[in-house]
Amino acid sequence: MKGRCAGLVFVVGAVLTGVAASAADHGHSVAHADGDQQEANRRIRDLVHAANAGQPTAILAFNAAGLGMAALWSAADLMDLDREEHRAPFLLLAEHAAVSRRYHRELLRLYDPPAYRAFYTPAGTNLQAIVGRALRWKDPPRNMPEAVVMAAPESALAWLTAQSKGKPTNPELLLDILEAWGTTIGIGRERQYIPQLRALAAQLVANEDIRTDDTLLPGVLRFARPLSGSEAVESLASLAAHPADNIRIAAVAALGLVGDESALRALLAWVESERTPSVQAKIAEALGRWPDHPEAGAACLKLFERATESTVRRSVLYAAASSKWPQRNGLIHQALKMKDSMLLGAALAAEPVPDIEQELMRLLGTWDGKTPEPALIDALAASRVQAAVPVLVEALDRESNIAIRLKLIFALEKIKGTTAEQALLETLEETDDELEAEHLVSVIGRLKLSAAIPHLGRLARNEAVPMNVRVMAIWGLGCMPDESASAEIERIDAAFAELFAVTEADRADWDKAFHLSVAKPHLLLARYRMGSAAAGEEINSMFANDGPVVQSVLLLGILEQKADHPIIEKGLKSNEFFVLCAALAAARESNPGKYRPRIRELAASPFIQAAASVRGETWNLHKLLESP
Amino acid sequence: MKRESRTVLLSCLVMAMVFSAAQAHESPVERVGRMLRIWTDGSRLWLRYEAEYSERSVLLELHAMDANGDGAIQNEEQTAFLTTKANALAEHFRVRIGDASLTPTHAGPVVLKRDWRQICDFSVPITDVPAGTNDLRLTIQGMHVQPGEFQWTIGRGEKEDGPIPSEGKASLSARKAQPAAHSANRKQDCIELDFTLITAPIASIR
Repeated sequence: MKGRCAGLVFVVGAVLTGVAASAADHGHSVAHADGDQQEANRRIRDLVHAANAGQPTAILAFNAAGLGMAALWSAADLMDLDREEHRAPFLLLAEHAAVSRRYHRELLRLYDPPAYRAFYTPAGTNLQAIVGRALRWKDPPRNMPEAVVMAAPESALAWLTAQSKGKPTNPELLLDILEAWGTTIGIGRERQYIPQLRALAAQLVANEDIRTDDTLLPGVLRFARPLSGSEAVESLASLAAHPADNIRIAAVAALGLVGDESALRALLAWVESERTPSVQAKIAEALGRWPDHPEAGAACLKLFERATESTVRRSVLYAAASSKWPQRNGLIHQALKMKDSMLLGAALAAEPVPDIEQELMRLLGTWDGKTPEPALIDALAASRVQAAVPVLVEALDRESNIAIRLKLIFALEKIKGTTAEQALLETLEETDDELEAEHLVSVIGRLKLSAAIPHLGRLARNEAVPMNVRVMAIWGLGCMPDESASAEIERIDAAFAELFAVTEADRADWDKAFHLSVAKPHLLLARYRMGSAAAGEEINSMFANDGPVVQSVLLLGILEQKADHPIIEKGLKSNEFFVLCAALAAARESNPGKYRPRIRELAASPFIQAAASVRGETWNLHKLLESP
Repeated sequence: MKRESRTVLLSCLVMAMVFSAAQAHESPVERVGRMLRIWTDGSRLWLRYEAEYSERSVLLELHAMDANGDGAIQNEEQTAFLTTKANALAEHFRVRIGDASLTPTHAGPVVLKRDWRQICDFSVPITDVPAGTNDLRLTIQGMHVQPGEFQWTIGRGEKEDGPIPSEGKASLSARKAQPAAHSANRKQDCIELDFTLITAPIASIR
């Protein structure tokens, strides 16, 4: 029920029959774990009943799995795995209930005790053994590998280890379990057994019976790829002589992921003898993992020169693009001269290359009045080709695609110069596109184009202008090292309550409400950048009294200014992920020596490390935690 | 699209634009949502606050909880952290019944659920409330500090809530409520929910 539905009258939900209950009576307090177990028992009894009656069980098993491992404990008690009709629903339940195994041990202990008991206590070993019996069933349900990997990892690991020590007795099941566990690792759900699986992978790859089995070896290599360490290098390198291309490709990929000196030596030796283009391309890609090693660059250059196919050269160019190889620039010049369209994008993906201006202008000429391709725009920007500015400005005049327009704007920002800057100012005056205006203001702020100050002031004060553009204009003014910008900011600050008044309509408009909430922090940051000590104090106070959204805005502003402000110390103590990351970034940028002890302390925490390993974040917390 | 998601997208957009170097295209808010349940048992008014977090945010809380830094959470560490948190949360609730202003207090342990929910009960006595129909206003402050989707409902959210008994001795109904979802706007820092509280004379209950 959404409480936001103003005026709704709800039916009375709670009417109790006495006033005698005291505050100490927790009859009404939160339901405890026993209630969950009782519910799990009830659902499992329903499941057993349905299975016994020959009724469909899949939905009941899924529903029970929704209660987590409490349901599996109950199922282990109440289901009879000697009965065929109980096996499929049991394993379906096991597979889905046990997804919680991916979480940190202490999280499970506090938040999900049945799961903790299952995976981290002796009692759990017994439960896992019950699930692990499925490994010995004839014709088990199809999801058996996934179920044992998730719910009975100890049994699955023991079984795999036995298989790895000689000729596998059940190759088909071996492959199925490796695939199931490999998938679990690939999607970041294996937290518990990585060291054991790493040792297992090395043992499997070294097993002669597996190495000579064309069916088993590809599956084993797929499993081993993300797990391989130095101990597997010799076994992987010896596969250079294997006749199958797919095996050699898999071994090369695994060596690349090992990433140490021994793996590099193995690849450098391998590339000399390799003749198959698809494998050569994979080797080039793998060598890209050693961007600081000139010998990797030398091997790639030789490969580029003797390659017979564009795919190999393209892989070499992508590997070279972000490397520091001394051969890099020569490779890119060579590629541009080859007039091979397949190589163009790869060559232009590189960081700026000296003396490339002429070649890029020649390519620009081939577009003959049309907007050049995005990769070429990026390359012109990266190499800051002044001669291209008139062509890019013309393209901006006629281009209507907003994505390409923004690319051209950012290219002009990078190249700089009077013509580029004048074009940006004129475009800001003329544009009626909200997104483009917002980006242009940010570009003009970064370039500190003081000619735009009056226009930015008008934008910030004009209530008809979209709120996001107004906020950006404040930020842009803050970037200007100019007294007229300071004066403009002071005027906006003095009239802030009036200029940025919140109305009832604003509250209903979430876009506007959000931008309104970050307008004041931006104004403070602008004043702080301009040297206001009072603004620094206000930032402190706002950080202390506000939530993670505003705290993040403040820290990102401080990060951008590379300032060492007290809110960094506060942010480093935050329980908010984004705030912590922003504080770490600001600490590293502003005063790494001062914050080094605190960063090391955070890096040593198993909980912070576990948070860093949760997928789906772009801050790269692991990197931020490295000692500055 | 949920409002929470929209806010998140907008946050991302603005920050990505302003600070192009920062990895700002993800949400700065890790909370999934909050639910407030309100009910009365005749002698007390109860509030149950359920906050749902992300895996990452509860991991960061464990780091804060781990006072001795040994990588494990002792019961005392857990209790100390969660009690402090619940007491701080209690500061955000204000109840006004008629002319009387009341502050709910934290009651019972904070319960942790496997979907990363933390559930905490608060209560305040209403035995001094005059029998009959009373206006009740619940004010929740500090909404910007606890961002995320907010919902509320009447009842404990347990099976025994059931239908209204025909001879109830105290009852609560929503009378008028502001929109419960909130923005990150500082000026919209509190939510006020209005109810009608009907209480019967003590004698009639006995």
